[in-house]
Amino acid sequence: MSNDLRSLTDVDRLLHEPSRTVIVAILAAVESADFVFLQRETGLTRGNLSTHLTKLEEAGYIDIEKTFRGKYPLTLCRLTETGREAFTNYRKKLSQFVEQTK
Amino acid sequence: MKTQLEEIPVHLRRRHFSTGTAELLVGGMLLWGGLSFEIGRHPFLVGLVFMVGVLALGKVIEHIQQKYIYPRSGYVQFHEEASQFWKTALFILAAAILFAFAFWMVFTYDYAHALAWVTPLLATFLGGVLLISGFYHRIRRMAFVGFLALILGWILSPLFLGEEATRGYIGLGILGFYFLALGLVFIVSGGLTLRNYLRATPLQPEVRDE
Repeated sequence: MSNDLRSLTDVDRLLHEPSRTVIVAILAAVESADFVFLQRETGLTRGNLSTHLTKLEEAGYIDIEKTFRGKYPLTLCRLTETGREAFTNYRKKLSQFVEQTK
Repeated sequence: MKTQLEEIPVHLRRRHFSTGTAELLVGGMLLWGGLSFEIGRHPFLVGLVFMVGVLALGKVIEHIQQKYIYPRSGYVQFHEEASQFWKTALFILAAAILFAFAFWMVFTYDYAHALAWVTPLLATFLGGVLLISGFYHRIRRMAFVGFLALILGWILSPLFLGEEATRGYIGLGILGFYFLALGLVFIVSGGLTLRNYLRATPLQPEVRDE
């Protein structure tokens, strides 16, 4: 196995999970999104989404803020700089891997 | 993988327009602007009536969003910076309008004649932006509204109504009429979109239980 291929084993395991990849990809595309929006976009159950968000928050990849917009309660999620950097690196590694295995 | 990830922002922005509330707000503003324009004669009064109406309209749209949209689709805030594409498109259109105006003012020296061309030029600007947005975001509805905005503006121009029918104050009155008609187009489009959205998007079960 070449070094380039071997580097895939160093991929960020936290992001290398389909649901979390989608969550982070959505958050990378927007400024912030609330829980209901993420649930609708990812198709995850409330419990599943909550677990994934907690893991991402513990890693410092996202910020979670509980707030209100008028009377509507919001659980706002926002990608942190650490999270954005990790996601960029993750995408780079995946792209390299795809190129190598063509 | 790469393509799918790059599709996400486009997909999200497209969904952002799926509720029709943006069109209802713009349509309401245009309609109210046209009405204020036609009813009022004093610029200060027109401005005041328009501002009060827009504030009230904003409250109504905010209420619709809080009561019907956020519990269904959730809340999302996009990055504020405009893309290079938009800056370029807006610059080209604004430059085209300024150039057309400058041309008219310099070569005809006729203010009343220039006023008559405000409606079709504005229609070109609005219709152009909507057509480009519609194609860029792949929202056919927006492109269609843009097409109507463009056609409507040119129908209300000296080209179709005749030079004498559009001169002086009547030229400005036609602009108010254009806002009214365009506002109605937006409201019908936004209303139908909102109706379809509410039918197609049930409440999230957890939100319904709360």
